[in-house]
Amino acid sequence: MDVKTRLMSTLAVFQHDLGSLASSWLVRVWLALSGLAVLFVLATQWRVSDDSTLIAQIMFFYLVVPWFLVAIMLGVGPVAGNRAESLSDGVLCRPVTRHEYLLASWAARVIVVLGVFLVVVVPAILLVVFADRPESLFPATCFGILAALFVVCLVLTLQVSLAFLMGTLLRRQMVTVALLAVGWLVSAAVLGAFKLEEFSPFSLSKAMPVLLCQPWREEDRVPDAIEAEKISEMIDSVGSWFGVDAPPPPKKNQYFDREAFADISLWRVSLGYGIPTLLSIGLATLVFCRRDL
Amino acid sequence: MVTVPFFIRENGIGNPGLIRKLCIDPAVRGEFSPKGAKIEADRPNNLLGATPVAQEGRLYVDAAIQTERLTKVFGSRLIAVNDMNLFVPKGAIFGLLGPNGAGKTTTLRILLGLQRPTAGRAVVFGRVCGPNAVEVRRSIGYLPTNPQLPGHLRPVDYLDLVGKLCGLRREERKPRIASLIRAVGLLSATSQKIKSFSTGMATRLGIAASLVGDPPLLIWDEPTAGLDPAARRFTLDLIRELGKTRTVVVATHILGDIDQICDHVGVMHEGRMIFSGPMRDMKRRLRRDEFTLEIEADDERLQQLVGGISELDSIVAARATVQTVTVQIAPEHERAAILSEVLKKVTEAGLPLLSIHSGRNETENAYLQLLDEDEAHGFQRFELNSARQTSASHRNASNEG
Repeated sequence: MDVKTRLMSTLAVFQHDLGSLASSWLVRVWLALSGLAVLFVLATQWRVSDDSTLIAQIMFFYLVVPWFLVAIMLGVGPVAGNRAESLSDGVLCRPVTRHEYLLASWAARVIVVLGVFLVVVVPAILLVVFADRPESLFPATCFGILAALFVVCLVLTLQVSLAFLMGTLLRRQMVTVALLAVGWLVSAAVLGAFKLEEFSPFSLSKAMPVLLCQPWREEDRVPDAIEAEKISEMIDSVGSWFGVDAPPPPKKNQYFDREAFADISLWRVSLGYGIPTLLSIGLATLVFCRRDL
Repeated sequence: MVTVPFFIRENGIGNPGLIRKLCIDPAVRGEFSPKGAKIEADRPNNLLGATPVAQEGRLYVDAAIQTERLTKVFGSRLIAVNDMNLFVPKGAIFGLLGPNGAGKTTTLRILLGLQRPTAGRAVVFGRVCGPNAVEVRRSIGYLPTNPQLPGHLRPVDYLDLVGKLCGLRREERKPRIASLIRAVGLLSATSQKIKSFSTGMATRLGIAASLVGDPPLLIWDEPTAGLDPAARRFTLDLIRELGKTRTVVVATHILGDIDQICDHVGVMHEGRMIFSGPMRDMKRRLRRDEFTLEIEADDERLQQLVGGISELDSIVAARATVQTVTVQIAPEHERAAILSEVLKKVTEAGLPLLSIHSGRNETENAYLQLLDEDEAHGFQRFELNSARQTSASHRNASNEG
């Protein structure tokens, strides 16, 4: 059998799952609520936050709460729950191998989750970057934006993959979602206490403004952000001696911590979320290929 | 008898390619024994013959399905299939009978690779079944009980999906789907979503889905469950028609269906195959020594008739209901001669005979008798199995020695 025919069944499962998920009420509602949440952030923070902080605030919903719950619900395997099991039987009694089915199904879930994220966030970022806004002290760089998008996509992929693995192991949809949600929040909070942005999405969200300001090359780096802040304060005080009123400084957001995460590394973060993702997919495939349906 | 010596793997059921090569001559049909290393030729075609249950360590060339000591235990608690040997000849319409929980569905799911056997193995057209046995599933069209179909799709979309899963190219897939939709009578429902389908319509769509890949083996699990009489008739006729060109396995506990369509039958009870063979063999097992006469008469005259019949040698007569008399003939006597004596008595009494029949439905009787016998064996079953295993281990030990 040629590769094209071999791929046909995998693509069929992928397209079917993609279509089913895209037309589900969960995805539609999530898309609408995500859009509203981003609009709310833009409306309230437009004048008071600089570019990188504003973009980081938009991404907060995907890294911390509440959208991780939706990613988990969508990711819970195609074989968790009675109805899902029956439907998967309908596919797996045809000439499709289990790993083909699993990978196609996983890919469909990841694409849907990332699709919703990108559809909502990318237009908002473009708006922030290209709109006529007050000069930003911490402007987001092109590299920083792409790196931030990549990292959030990686975290969402990890959430889907973990849900996929747990769904394959436990087979009970609601139990899986509840366990994973609690586990995710607890572990992220504990690791976040140690400021481990490589493992904790809570820490990662705090480090996001720093990542958004990173340049393509080290030589292109603008003076250190902290330094820039000090210089700005100095200029303001000099201006006040001559009776010149400086424009009100942007309100400093206490949540984001530029000093603690100044050494954030894209490589470390990618490995921190990428390796567990690959392990989850591998383990899910191994478990699924060895178990009864 | 022609004996052709050859070697095959001791642990396996043999190399199907090699076996096919050796069996170019269609007259060579029979069994392969890894230990005996020989082919027995000039045997009757298994499809027509009465070789009911596969023997340990042998492969029937004409087998569509063969299982060897198949066992499935769920979580060390539930024994769903117990040391089961099944043989389904190619081209047969095979009825897999058994009460609920007998292990029929589990057996079928093992054949499809949806479940793994705890011990033993299953072979379909010479290929071992398993989760990644794609070629096995390519040769099977499966219809589950009350199929769960994706409700958001329309029938054509669903069949298209199944066609793609079977690896059919577009130019082959589209016309086949159109003809199948027409064949199962869903032409008027193509614009509806599947979630609006009745049970009968969903079953018909499931039937069409099982036929999309044009497989040589159909496995249908309770295809008539929940159907109205017209849909049931349609399904049974379809099975009969499909059975002319392919092997069909129908798992059910509805005896009437099996009786109408199957030429071979296997009876499962508590996970074991207690009978497997041609339908006629099963019916032959029935003891038909009891007859029922339906006679129109008042009580007194009927009682006189019963007394008269009872005077005959080797007969026990009794009144069953108001108008019926049962006549039981001793097994060693010629039934036709004795029945003619009985009928003569009825004529002499001047009573109108409304009907005469032998017990209940034949298949039902045979089936219930098999279940009764299996229940009655009790501990003996265990001893038979133990003896078989002991002899097998002795044989292995002597071979190794």
